[in-house]
Amino acid sequence: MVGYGFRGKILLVDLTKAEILVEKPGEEFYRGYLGGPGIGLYYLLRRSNKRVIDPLGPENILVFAPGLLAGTGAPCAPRYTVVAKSPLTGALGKSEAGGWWGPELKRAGFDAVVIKGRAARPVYLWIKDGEAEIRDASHLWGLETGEAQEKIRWELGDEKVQVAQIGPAGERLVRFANICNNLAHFNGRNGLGAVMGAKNLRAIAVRGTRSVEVKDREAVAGILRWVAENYRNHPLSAALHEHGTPLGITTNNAGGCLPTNHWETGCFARAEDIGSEKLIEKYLVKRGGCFACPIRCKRVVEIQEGDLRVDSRYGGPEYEALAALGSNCGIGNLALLLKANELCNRYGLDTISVGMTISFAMKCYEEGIIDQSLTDGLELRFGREEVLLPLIEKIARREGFGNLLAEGSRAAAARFGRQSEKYLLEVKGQEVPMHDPRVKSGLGLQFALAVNGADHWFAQHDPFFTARDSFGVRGMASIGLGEPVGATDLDHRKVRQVLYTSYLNGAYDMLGVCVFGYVARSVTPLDKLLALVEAVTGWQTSWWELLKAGERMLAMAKEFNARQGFTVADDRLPEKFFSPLKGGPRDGEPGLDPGRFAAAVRLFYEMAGWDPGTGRPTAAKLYELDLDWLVEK
Amino acid sequence: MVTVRLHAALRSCLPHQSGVLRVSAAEGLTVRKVLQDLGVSCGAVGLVLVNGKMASLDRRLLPGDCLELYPIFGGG
Ligand code: SF4
Repeated sequence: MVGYGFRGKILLVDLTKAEILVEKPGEEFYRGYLGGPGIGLYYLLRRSNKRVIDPLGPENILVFAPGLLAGTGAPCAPRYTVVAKSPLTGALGKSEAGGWWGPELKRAGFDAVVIKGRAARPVYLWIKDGEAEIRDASHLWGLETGEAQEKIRWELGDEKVQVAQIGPAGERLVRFANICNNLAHFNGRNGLGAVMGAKNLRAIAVRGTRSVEVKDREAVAGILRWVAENYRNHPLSAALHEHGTPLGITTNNAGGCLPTNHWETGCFARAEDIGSEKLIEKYLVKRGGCFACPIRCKRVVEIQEGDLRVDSRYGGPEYEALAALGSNCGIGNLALLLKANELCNRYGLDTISVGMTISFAMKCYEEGIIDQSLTDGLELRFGREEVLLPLIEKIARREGFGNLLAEGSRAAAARFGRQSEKYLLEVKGQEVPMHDPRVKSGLGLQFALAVNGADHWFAQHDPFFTARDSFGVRGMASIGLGEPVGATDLDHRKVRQVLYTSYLNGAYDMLGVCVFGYVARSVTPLDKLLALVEAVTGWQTSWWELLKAGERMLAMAKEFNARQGFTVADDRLPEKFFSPLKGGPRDGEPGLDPGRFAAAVRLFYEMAGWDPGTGRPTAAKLYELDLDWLVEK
Repeated sequence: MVTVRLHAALRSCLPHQSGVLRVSAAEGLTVRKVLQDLGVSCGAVGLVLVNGKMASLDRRLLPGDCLELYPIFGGG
């Protein structure tokens, strides 16, 4: 044993040479990079060696890395990160998923799998208790995710094998193809499924039967028990369990900020029909969860009869899927949305980008920019239920109009021409998630600054910090965020809040903890998380050290983006967010102020120690973060 | 009287699930006071509407007002 919480082994796979090696970093490495995106970025930067990489070429480095606490029995800490250059944005691709796969990899004896090259034919990787082999996957190619998982488990003779895989969309290099595990947990964003597809890598199957050593098992179990006993008494975690994220549909609608008809308004007349209460009443069969998480915020839905049968193996929709495919496309038929979500999961597609790319096409159709001669005869008006499933099928198969949409909305705009780009809602090429920066300015900064394109978990969300009794203000005073800041304020205090919580969320990802398990969005406070890290690793650590780790990861990400040609000019927002809100109680309220927003972005750079001229962290910052190996000499 | 309507996850704060109740509009009654009386944590509330318009927790309530409360939401 080399330490506690980590296994001390990284699996290095070269698919071109069909070669597998093991690297054994020391404890110091784990203390600096923890896990998840810390380890992912370390290998991506080291192995891509300053070059501009083709995201779909063999030189792209694809890393799967569970967080440090994953698999240790720490509560709500199931997450692993996938890192590579994104084929959707051309910037860093970084996407987290919960479920069981991350913990299983740790139990199998590895802290990460680093993949380069390209297999000559379809393969999958099989990792079991310290051993790994590359296996033929020709018979899996083309199968939906459910069938492929069944076949893999059958041929390996073990129902407990955890499978992270792409679907047919990833095989066909759809630029927003995702990676799923256990059919219902997703590394959803940035099109990382297409990176697997380009490598001819259909899946990574894992089985581990060896517990991860932790320093103080009793203490870890005690904190897990504490979460189990307390989550129902905390309004946020109780609501997550009861309603899941679909709660956001009716609450955002009431506030006039539910993206509707490609963000034309924030009010959707049929919000109640697709909200969490309707979902619970009509289709919920159980509440699902992740490894060692008592909160179980996931929805499992089923429809057994009629034209729209929905298989419960594929879980159920999050808020993002219901809004992106639903209100955002003007569609208020819940059964249809559950089917659309399930289809995306069968084929391996990111529901946010699918919904936003379809709504963009609908907008262009309604504006007369495109017509039925381009859309394979489909009439793409908002609210037309009959086009949703055919479009998803077409995208996944890259058929006709779907082939065009499969390149993402920004590429579609280039094809549509006729100034269609003014209707784009993306940052760095990634379609925006379902949260409106006009009602929370820090979220706007997140969208603009996130290293991996518009991302809604780059930092914490503004509403949790607006008053003295807000959960964020109460829970994060110890890291310097004890003063309330208004949701739409855009001054230095807001910039600092986004900066500090971007370090915090970075640390969360590196530890593998879920934002729905911990402050500000949930029940577990920072001191308990710190105690967990100490109990797992045996390190005497502090929030200073953990936040510095988060900052280190972000600096590495920023350096990677600079090497791929990104500058401060890419940290921008779509015009829409500078125009007034429409509909609901906020009707007519002004959007973000462009001058103040640009100043806030610049201030963020300066606070972070990033050079606005080059887009890189300054040499001083890299030295401070112990990243001298990244300093250009 | 003031009509108070709690939505979605906030409804479980009340003993009955209808989410609607009426409280007497005592002098100086504010949204915050209503929440305190109901035992609802202010941090759990994301949106306050009084007669369909956005309002703060310190908003004074008058007879005939309709107060609607929605749970806080962020980061789906
Ligand atoms: S809170 Fe939800 S998403 Fe997070 S670990 Fe638990 S079940 Fe998974």
